[in-house]
Amino acid sequence: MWYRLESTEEWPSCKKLLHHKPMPIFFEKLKTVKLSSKERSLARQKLYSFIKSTPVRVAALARLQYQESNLLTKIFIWRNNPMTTKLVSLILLATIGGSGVSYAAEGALPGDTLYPIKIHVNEEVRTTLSLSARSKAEWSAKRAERRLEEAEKLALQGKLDVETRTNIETNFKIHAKEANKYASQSDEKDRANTKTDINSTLEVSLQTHGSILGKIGRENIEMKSVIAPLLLKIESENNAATKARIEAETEISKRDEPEIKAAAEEKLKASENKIAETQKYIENEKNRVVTSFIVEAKAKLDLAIKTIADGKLKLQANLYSEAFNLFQQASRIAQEAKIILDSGKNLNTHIKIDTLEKTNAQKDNNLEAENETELETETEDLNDKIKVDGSVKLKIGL
Amino acid sequence: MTLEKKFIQSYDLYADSIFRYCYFRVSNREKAQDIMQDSFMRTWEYIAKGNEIENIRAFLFKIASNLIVDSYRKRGSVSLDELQEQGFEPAIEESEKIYDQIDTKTAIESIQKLEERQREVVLLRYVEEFTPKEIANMIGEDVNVVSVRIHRGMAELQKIITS
Repeated sequence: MWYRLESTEEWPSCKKLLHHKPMPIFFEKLKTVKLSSKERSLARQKLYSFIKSTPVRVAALARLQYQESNLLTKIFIWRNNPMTTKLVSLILLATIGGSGVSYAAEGALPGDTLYPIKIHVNEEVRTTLSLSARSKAEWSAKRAERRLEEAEKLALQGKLDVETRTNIETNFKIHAKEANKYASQSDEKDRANTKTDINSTLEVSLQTHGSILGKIGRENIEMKSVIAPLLLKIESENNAATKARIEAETEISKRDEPEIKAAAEEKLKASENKIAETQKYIENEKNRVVTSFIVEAKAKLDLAIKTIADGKLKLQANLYSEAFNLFQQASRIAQEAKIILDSGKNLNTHIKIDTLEKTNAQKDNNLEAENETELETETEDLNDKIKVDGSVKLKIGL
Repeated sequence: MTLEKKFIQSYDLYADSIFRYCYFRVSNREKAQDIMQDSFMRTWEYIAKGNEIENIRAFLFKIASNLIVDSYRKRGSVSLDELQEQGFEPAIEESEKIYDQIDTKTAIESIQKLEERQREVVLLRYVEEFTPKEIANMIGEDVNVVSVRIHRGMAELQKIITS
């Protein structure tokens, strides 16, 4: 049904679009809003680079080619023959050409020929593709996490050496720094919130991956000495992220009451969404991940739900700032659950994640009381412990 | 035609309308471009995994709608105050006459005043011209709910325009 505007007397500028004509004219006006030619072509260029770096997977392409080509149809009839499969794969790889390299590089680990393409081409393209400072910050945090995943995979295969570890350390530090740099460049109104979110994300990846690496170290004597210094870097980076997050949270807590209330309510919604999303994720992935990871992830999720309930009580008691922090904490715990599942899929092994050594709340309290110098001292103490005992006694507080 | 080329063709066809839709919803030109770009990237990732899409335009709008909701969830809704502080940037083609620009600006101001959920369906129905059934599929609501919401949204829009 089209609507007709009856009176435009009080709104003279609308007369031209409406006259006595129906509403479509009003909407025609809205349709004139578009990208400028420059914006359109810039975005097109970026999309083109993205398509090239994310080509159609061989399997998907095979299916399409199968439908379209008689020749390939014939070859696929014998697809159970390994030689034929290899031949077809080669043909298909040749078909997708250069972009196939980018796809193959996605799974590369340090030391692989394609690894430089993964970090210097694929990942850089993604950075360029992110327009806003916030999305650049989110991607940088993800890149830091990717470095830790690589360290995990290599350590599990017993292939992590000192040189690779040093490179990984340098890179994840750079990405974490970049994430914070971009977060600082985000919209002023959203800045504190972005900093809270980004540092929360960093904390969770550092804690969870640190815990998994610690476990690998304990189970593999050869890897232990290589992993130990990495754990220290992770711990120190994690402390920096926690500190930055607490600072941003403090900034939010200084806002006017209605503003903090709105922020807390918004954070409640965000953490509830995160939990629902993680619940769904666990449900979908439960058959692909070993049970110990599922149990651990579910336990985390329960904790996140409990933390939300605590936050709601604070909200009812008009303690908005505390409620905000608890909701943020719930989001972090839910994210931990997701990372645990992802690691379970990636590692495909029976590593049990360490249980909570310290709760986040305790950790926050400790850190609030400490200054930077004390953090450094703690790191040195840990160093000494490793030298003296010859074993890693690090406990990454999840 | 390769999938890549087909997809780029879809970009050429729909980039403006996806951007416009995002812009009316998030009220910030940069964010709208980000979401538009992200919508195309995610759609491509979906295709690259070997999935088939029946109606790419509807699919793109669905992804964009989800991303918009996500951005609200993460950052909180954009207030009208923020919108007014930023000023509108309608990016009207240069060839358009000034009086037309004024009218467009007023039209944008009016649609932005509409409540979020009503704005979503009114834009999809009358600017993007999807059927209520298509919109219902897109936003995961019952078709009757969508129709009622469009109806109320239009009544509200009339009030905004004439007030």
